[in-house]
Amino acid sequence: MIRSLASAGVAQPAWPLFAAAATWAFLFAGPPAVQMPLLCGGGGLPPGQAVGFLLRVHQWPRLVLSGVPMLFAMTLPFVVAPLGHVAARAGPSRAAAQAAFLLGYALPWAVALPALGAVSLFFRWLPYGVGVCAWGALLWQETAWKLGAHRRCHARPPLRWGAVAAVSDSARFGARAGWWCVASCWASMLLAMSIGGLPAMLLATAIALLERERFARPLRGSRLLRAGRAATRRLAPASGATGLPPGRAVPIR
Amino acid sequence: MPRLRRNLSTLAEWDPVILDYARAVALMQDRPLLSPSSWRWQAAVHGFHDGLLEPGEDPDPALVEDFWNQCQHGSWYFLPWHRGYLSAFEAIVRDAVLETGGSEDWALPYWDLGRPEWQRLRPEFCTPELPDGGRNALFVEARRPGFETGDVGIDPRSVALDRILVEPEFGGDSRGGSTGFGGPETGFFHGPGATGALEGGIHNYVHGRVGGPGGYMSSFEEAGLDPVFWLHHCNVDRLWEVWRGRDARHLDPDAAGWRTGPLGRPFRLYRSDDELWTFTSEEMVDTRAEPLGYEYEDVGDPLGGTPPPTHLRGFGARARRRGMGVAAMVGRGRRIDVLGAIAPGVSLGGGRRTARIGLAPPPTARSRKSLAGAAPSAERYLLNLENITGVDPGQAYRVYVNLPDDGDPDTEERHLVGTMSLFGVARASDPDGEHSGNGLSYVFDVTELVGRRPDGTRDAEALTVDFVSDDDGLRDDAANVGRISIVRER
Repeated sequence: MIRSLASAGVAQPAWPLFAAAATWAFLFAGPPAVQMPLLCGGGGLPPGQAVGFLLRVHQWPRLVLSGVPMLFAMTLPFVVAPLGHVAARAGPSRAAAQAAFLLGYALPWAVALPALGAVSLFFRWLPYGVGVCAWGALLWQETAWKLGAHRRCHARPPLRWGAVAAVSDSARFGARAGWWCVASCWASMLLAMSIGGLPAMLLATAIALLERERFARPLRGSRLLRAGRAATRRLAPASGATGLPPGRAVPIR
Repeated sequence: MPRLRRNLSTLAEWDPVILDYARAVALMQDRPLLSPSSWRWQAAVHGFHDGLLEPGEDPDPALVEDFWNQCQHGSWYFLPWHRGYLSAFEAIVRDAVLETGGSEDWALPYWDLGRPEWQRLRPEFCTPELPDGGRNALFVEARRPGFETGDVGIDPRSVALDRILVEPEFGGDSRGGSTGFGGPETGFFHGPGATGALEGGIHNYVHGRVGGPGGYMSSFEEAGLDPVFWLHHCNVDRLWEVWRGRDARHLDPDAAGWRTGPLGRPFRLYRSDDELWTFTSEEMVDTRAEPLGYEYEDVGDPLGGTPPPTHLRGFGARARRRGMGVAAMVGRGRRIDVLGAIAPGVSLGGGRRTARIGLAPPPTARSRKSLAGAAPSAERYLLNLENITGVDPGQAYRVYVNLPDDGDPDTEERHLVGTMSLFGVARASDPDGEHSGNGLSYVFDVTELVGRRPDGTRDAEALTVDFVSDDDGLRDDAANVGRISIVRER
């Protein structure tokens, strides 16, 4: 993605990356009042009480507004490619179509974030809740549902020509893309929210980017374990790391 | 001394090169799946699905992810990766040739389709027996019905190279502009997607014609199981040399991303059961250098030195940099304007189907003079066919622009812009597949036809696109083109 921004061909919209970077900088350096993970700490109360606590301490508009920069920072890197798809096909309605895509994309997240936030309060309250959540997130990574949702994020549907048609198709495209993004990443988002803090949110974003850009497939815990075992074996003579029949040395050049 | 890859089409029947190949393939076919020197492993490197497993086989998923399903398609890595793939395969076959008593100088022959008489399957691939009566491993039943006669319905117009070899740039773009000779810039990309001219042209077409509706060659995952696959790809590889040799402006990409391979995911193949080989694109440039170590019998220009069409002379990497000044130093400055589109596009069956696209006037050129260069002067018009879905990967349609309503596709060849093969369409159409059912994409240069009516007068308001199939018995919705658009690239 980074490389593709500087590639030959139609320029991918670069502004989402810059906007995301600027937003992360703002979140880390800015006042705590805009840091949603801090606002949503819940005070260690049981979930039901935590929600009431939050709403009494912070007016709901602040909670909502604090979620916006968090949403931007975490999702903007993932809209570069689909925005490029829209930009390259919408013709004169390019700007409006891209705006429609972004609005559509934000909608599923606008629904999912508060729900995930509420559930994260449960894991924060539960003893060893973060650990439980982490196991659940790793299991989700192994499932065919995760793989299916991850793949659906790559959909690039045909867009009609004409101002109204292009804009409406782009909005629909955005909503579907946002939905599959939620479906793919909800577990890691939930885990990050359960851990709390900006570094956790940044790490969740980085992992999702690795999945999308480097590996082109979900990162699986079982694979991480295998990679760890393979790395350990390379410290001593070994074979079979790749599942080949034993006895075959595999010198890697 | 580089080994010589010879033209299959000029070899005598059962030439030792072919006989050695047949015996080596038979030996490789007897090896187990998990042996990198086995036939099935080599095929799995290109593509694999669980349906190819035999009872009791259960490969490690990490192995499948790391070493199988690696083929690069719809990507500027298509040519360098396949070159490495062929080289590794050739090394393994040569070892098998030696085991079966063949020549140590054996090299993979290439299936040149440059003459009508060469556009048939060789007899050696159409008979189940070797000359000595043994099983002929070159014969596989999973091909187009009727292949035993050698005729797989290859149309000379669809394997013509005149539009492919004049493409000025290696790399291209996957968002509407030219995809280049070699394919659009991507990361590690297992395809399918928008293809370069070579891949989308003769490569895809021959796959579909040999494989037919359900044969090995029509499937990404099974193509390597057909011994013809390797000889076909050898010719595709040879055409890379032909392209580079025919015009000094035809250059491989100099971008680090191409030269050093996909970021974070190097190409790795086995050259034997024990030798794992990592390679980059820039190491694939010189075929005479080891470990490639080969050259082709004939890399002459089949177009006889014909210069490119006038409108293409302003393109090409160096031409673009000269014209773009400072802007070219930080990017390649390609500008693409969509002039018109229809979506949904058209549903295809047998015979001829027509789509009509209204065109908006091109945007007036805003001043884009860079600090030290002039505004771009080259432009070309491209027909984009996107989100192509269907069920029969053996199908192909010839594509015409502005063909008169009463025009005969068989004679009005100046309106022919290319062939749209559906190789890979089933996989590309699967919404649960790797690429989410986006379908196939094709890009054709229509510069010489845009804006001209059949009688030669200009029509800047619309154009027609015709899809013509010669295959019989197709249902009305055999394929669907999701979007058809015309773009101007400058």
